Amino acid sequence: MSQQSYLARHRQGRLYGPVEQPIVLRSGFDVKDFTYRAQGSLRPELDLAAFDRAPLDPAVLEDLRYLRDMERSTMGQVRSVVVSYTNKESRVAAFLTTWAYERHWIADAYQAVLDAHGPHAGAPQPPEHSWVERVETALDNISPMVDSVWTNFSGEAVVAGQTARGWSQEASTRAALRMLERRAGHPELSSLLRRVAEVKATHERFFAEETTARIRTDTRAERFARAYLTFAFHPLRPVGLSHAHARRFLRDLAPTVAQRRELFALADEPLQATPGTAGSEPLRRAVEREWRLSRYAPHQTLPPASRSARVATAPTAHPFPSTGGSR
Amino acid sequence: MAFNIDKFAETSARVNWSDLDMDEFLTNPLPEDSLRCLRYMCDVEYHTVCYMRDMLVTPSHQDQDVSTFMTMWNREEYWHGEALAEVLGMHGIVVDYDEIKAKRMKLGWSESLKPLKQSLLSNMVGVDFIATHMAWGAANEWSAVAAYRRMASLEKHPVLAVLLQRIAHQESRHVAFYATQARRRLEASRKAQRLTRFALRKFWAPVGSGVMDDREVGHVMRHLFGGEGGAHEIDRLDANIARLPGMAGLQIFRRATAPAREAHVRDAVPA
Repeated sequence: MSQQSYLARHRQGRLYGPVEQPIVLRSGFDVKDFTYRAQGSLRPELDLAAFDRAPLDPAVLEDLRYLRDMERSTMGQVRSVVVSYTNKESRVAAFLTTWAYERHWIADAYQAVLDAHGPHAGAPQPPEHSWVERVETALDNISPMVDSVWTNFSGEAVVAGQTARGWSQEASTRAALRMLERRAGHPELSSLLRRVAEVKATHERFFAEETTARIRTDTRAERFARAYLTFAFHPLRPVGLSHAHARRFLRDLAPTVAQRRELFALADEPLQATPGTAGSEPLRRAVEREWRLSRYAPHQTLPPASRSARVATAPTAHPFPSTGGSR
Repeated sequence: MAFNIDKFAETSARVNWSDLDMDEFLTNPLPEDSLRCLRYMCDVEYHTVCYMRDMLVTPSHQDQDVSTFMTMWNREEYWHGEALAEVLGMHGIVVDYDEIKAKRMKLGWSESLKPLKQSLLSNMVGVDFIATHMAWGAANEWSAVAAYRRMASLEKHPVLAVLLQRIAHQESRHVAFYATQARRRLEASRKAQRLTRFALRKFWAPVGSGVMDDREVGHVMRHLFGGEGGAHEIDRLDANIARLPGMAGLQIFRRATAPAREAHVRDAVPA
């Protein structure tokens, strides 16, 4: 083929893409700007000496280890997206690239605080080997095979399901950060948790806008969003983290019924504004499932808050920036 | 020397081109053959998320060092794609989200079912499969460094050469990770050595094969690795692979580029 013919194969500068109209859905979130302004290490913002003067109590350190492990599970979550149809969505893939980068540095900041409490404070949490974990691990091993087939048959609508999960995870994590801030009552930790929540507010905004835009343009997307939020999903327990640690974490953050109500409201309320995800209440339902599951496992658990704890209960003022805020 | 993952993460950054005079391409544009190579490189860089996906279906993502590397590597490669897209954009070639999605759609089921194949192999072979992935990754990254340096040297464009050297520098850090991991894992297992040797000998093809059309792969190999300088580079790449435990004597680069280099010789001989 002649040299000239290579450029001649382009139409309006494009080799593969259609020139008539865009094929990538663009919500209001500016992914280019997000990737450009990625937040790197948070260590320079930390005053670790403050933890020498006033160490965190052991239960809070354990909560922090759990939060670190949640952030460190990012690659497992990325895997479940990139093996699916969603990998074709270049804009979502670009977001996930930077999302994983920012979450790495959030985990690193938690690790720095843990390390400030001695060499063992940041040690990995021992894995759990209950039958539930073993079943989950087996399912996790085969999920790329299954997901790569059925999601590609389902097509683009499946993206809304995955972004809806991201939305719920980020909203729930921000709610947990708020509860932990209050629980710990430590000014330096508060400063870090608020900073993390600020970074996460941007993540939540992407997932929220992406989910909402997709639901608005495709009725199948709404069904996927609801299904992904309903089945085998716990916003605060990514696959790979133990059930026992998740229960302990939630019990420590919200030991009373009133606090659980508040946690569920903060976590699930953001999803109520979009028709496709309204009423889904993923965190409350996940905790209920955990409670039922715990009857077959030896670990102590968090009893679910009553139905009255549903998200109709308005949260008190949120100290973290809203998802509508910009960086 | 052991690869320091913490140091790698701390120093990981998106490749910078804001200090380069990109307008130079308006007055001193690249020839079509080079643009074709750059487009290939750009597509492959954006496609890194797919290579990462193949790695993620192995148990390797549960290893904290591997997970950290993949996070930084994927981001650096994404920015290589962005930088090359900027250069292509200066020549009127559009590489944006729509173009990347269209390319991935065009790959169809063969690409969509790769996680299925990789996952089946991973579950059948077990942890030794990670060693094969690491050696494969080292081969890909070694060839990427060589390709960028060859391109910079062949083109001698004042702006492009600087940009490509910066990209090559980051790629050489990726080589260090993959080669260290491959060496460690291969040393630990004879089975991993046999499996990796078999996989590289039978299936390795230049990075981008299977994603790009065969004629594009052929063009890039001919353009960058044809001629005496290219042959020398190919020998050097094979020597790198041969130094991995159990890989002595392998000539995967020579074999994979043979048709393109022969075509280069044919083109060079006057009729």
